Amino acid sequence: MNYLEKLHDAVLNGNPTIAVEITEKALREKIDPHILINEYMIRAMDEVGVRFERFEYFIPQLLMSAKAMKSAMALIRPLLISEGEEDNSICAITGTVKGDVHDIGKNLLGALLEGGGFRVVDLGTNVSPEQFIEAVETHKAKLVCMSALLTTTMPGMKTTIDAFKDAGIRDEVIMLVGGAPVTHHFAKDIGADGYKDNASAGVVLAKKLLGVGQK
Amino acid sequence: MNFKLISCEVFKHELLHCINKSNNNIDTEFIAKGIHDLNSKGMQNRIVKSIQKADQKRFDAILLGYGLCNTWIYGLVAHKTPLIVPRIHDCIGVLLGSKQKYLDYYFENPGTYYQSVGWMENTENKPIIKKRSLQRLYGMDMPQDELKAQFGEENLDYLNNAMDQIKHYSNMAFIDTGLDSQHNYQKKAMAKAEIKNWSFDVLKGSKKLLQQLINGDWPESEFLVVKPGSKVEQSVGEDLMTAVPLIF
Repeated sequence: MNYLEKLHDAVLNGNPTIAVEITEKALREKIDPHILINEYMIRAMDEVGVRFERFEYFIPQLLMSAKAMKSAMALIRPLLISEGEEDNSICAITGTVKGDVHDIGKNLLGALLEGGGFRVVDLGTNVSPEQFIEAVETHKAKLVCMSALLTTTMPGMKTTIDAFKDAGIRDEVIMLVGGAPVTHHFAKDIGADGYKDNASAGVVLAKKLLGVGQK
Repeated sequence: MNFKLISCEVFKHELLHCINKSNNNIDTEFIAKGIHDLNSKGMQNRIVKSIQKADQKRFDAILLGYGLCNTWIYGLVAHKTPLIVPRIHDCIGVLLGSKQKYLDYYFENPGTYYQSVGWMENTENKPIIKKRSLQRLYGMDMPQDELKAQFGEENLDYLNNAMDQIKHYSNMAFIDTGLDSQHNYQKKAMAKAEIKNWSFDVLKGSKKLLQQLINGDWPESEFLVVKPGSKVEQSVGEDLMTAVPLIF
């Protein structure tokens, strides 16, 4: 199984073609898909996150690693489903708040969350509080990640948290906020569970708060 | 009154018009719009440099031609001279003359790209700013040939689309503040909207807030007065910002 290290390297180096080749080969040889995910791809994406925080990796590299991981996962996921296996990964809802149509930061976070083993349901941009609540209930999500790029739309994060309180489900989810104008001060004031100024640190925080993957 | 004005260059024409109509003595300094491309701390450092110089002279107040503009304003300290800031999100609100007018249009038209004469005149950043910009820091301004060489032609569309900050935009709004030069710029903006296949709108702008800033007419609902020995802090409420004594 030595060649599997190439899967790790393909994700780390952002090479979707090789990631797919190795995954296909491994699946033909009946290697457990969980091994591919947990021992090679998640490990690679963790390293991608670390390199991004150290400014050794930039957004294009991060996007390519995410693409490599996604391409491999596209082959693996149908197998997990056809095995009738219950997906026990934690569901995270991502979305840019109402009125805001920017999504780079949110998409980067989504990619890194997937790389971190989360099942991500992305609601896209311009997402209302009601849509966040509906998604949490439908997907039994434990994590809500809201993004805003502008000071005009940032109050939508508070409106959404308040809507969760009104619906009586605030305590059932971890709610994180991020985006260029967001600060710790703001996150604390609106009652969010946490804030980080980059996607990679956001994933580390999410894992910590949910008590998963503690090293 | 004797004021120092430190402002983003996007308001230059409108502010000069307001200064002509005012009895106050205004010493002006316009700073490049490009500093918005730095991180908040970088933007603050640049403006603070000008504030510190002005603080050595005897002005009655230092007027700031900026809004929250992301978060640069938080942590700003008034030392010897009061600082006056419009309580507004950014230049769009300033040019529309009211925070509420801005928010009403904004939420009715998400995905709008706003333009004004000052914006369109100052699109090209100086190399020194480009070098320190957030775009550069995160590798988002990589030239196409470099992207292609590093990641392959087959991934070019994917990367460009993922890094396109305005891919979900669908409307352009040109703010008409009644400047002489504006007709040409409005036509250019309309042509840009056409190329992008966006709808196009002209919004009636206003010099009201800028005129109030220059005149020394600073109602608390629209302006924050930061007294010496105080600093600006974020406010979650509609007032957007607040001033607190430095000891806290």
